[in-house]
Amino acid sequence: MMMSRRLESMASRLAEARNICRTFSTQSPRLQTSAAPAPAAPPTYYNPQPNRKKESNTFKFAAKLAQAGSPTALKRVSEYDRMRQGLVDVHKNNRALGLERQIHRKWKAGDVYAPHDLSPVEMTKWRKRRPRERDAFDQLGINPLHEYKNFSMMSEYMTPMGRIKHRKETGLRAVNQRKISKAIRRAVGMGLLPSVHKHPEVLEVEARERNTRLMFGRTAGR
Amino acid sequence: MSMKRLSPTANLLRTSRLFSLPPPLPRPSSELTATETRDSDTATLPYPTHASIQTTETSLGRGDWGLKRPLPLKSTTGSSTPIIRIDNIDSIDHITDFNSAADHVLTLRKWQELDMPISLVDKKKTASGNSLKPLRSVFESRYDNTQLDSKTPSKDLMREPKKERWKYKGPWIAGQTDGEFKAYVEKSIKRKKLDFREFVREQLVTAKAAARRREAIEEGEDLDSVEVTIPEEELDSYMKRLRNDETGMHKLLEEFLDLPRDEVQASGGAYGDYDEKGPPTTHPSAGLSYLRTASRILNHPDFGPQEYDTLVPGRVIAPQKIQTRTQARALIGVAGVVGSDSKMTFNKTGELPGVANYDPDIPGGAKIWVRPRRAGIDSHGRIELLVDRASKNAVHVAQGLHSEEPKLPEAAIAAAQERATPTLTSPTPRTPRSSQGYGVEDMDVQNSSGRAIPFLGLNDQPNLNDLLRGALVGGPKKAI
Repeated sequence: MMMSRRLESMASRLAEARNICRTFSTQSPRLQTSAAPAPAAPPTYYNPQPNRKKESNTFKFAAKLAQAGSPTALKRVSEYDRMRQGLVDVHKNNRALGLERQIHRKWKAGDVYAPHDLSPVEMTKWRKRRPRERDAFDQLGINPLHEYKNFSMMSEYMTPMGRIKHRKETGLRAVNQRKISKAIRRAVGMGLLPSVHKHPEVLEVEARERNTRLMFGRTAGR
Repeated sequence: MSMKRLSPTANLLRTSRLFSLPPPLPRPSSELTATETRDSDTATLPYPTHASIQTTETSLGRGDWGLKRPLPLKSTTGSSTPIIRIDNIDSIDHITDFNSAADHVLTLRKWQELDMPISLVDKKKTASGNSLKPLRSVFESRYDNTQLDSKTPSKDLMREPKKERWKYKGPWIAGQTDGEFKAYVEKSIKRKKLDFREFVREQLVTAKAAARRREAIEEGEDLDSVEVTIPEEELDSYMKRLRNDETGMHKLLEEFLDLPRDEVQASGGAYGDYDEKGPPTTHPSAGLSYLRTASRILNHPDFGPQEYDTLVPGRVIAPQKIQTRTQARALIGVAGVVGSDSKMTFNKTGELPGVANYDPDIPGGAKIWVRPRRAGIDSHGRIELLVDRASKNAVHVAQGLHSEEPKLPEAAIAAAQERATPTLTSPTPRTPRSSQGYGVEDMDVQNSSGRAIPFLGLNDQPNLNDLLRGALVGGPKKAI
């Protein structure tokens, strides 16, 4: 009862899922090498409503046993079977989570696929972030030099330690890269921007976003 | 004919692949986002950009593809689909750069097996994505714009809805970013300033001439004597007046720069078809199918005429809900094209495994029977496909089952017991039964998800593990 009430709140459910992942993660070497999982499963994972079809099978199975042996054996067997059923569901969930995390391609309606598009090699490629292909300032028609007072824009082109980002990270063309670095240097020189970290207001917004994500899950606030 | 008159070299060039290969289309552009994009350069594109070429079997054996040099036999003869696309006909390293084109070629073949007509994409949709109008084929003569006939008398044009043009010289300005628009103005429009002045003068002359003619007719003058000239001062003042006349200026500019324009909107329609995605990049059928209608009836040999057409197997490409994202519709691949599911509700997990949630225990991914409802080509040249999930009865008809409960043949169960196919997932760590001390289950049989699951196709709906257990407990034991 307590368990089900606890499950109602979304945050705790997520935390629960994460905990389960950590302990039973398929990637965990501890579990892969040892042949035996904890035989005494935590009672929290017990599934009180197992699949009906399974139950009927269990019943048949147990009834057969009951004919052969004692009623205590029957009770024990059915209990064990139900416990195992709960365990299986948790494992299935974990495996699903582990594999879902490896789905990197966001398929869109209208995509065309051939068999190789469903291969792990292809999925690994979708995981990698590619450098920006287009120059943001060219696309927007903005001259970065005119934006030296715009500290949030300047912070976007600085590392957390206040260094100007490299061209391969920003994806700007050479002209605009020179302009943005000049604008950042100008802003720092005028005292509008700290030189060793991002602007405090930007840091505050980032921290707030991070907190929201931690509280409400990874997709919150997007 | 002319072939004989040409010199042998000219003939050779005329018939060569070198000259018959069209230049490739530009790659579909990546999305314009502020964040980094994730992309794969080897992924199959939403539409083919290169022509695919094939050669006869005898020429294939010699590596002769009609190109400058023979292609290597090792990489071309081993394939079951020896169809290639040429990336570079003669690179700087004196190499013909080619790739397999089997992806799009086979997709097209699979698509044509569906017998799906392509209908016009309806831009007005309800929230559930259902089209408001009945489906209209792109080849219906009133919408078919492959050939815009200028000879059609204007009376008919007025009555018929105007056909959408699909090629314009100018860019789609609504879809340009600020930077692109600035560059367009700087690079191509500024130079045409004088041309535009002349264009406006011509327009003015024709308008004025028409007015003068009318006057002349009314007053009974000679029509030949009507001559109109526009002095520079008048043109100047007209162009100044145009600056305040937004609609008039817009019409002139659209015509002068040949900008994509919505004919419906131009004639006073409230809703523009090009508002969201811009003008079409291809003919609305994209050559995928030349059928005009899907109004046909499947006549089943046992059950007679059926309400719906044949079902096709679909692969669940993206379930509605995975850990990292949730979407209203599951994406279902049919014939190599990702379409969206018409159902938006999250149904119970038991109903169709793998559609609402990801199911790791289905080897090779979840597959369901579907019926494609409509297909169209959107402005970006991508296929818009909507599929319906099949009802249970329709599936039984498709599988040729007469009873409600499908039964697996005995031989299939026996074969499944012997076969252990590798699964995508790592098996659940299994407790040896002996260590538990119960010893009530058969030691040789691994139960439930611990066991490598035999391949389940679309036709094998029931849970094999249940069947296995039932068979082992109840029936006589088989040699495993």
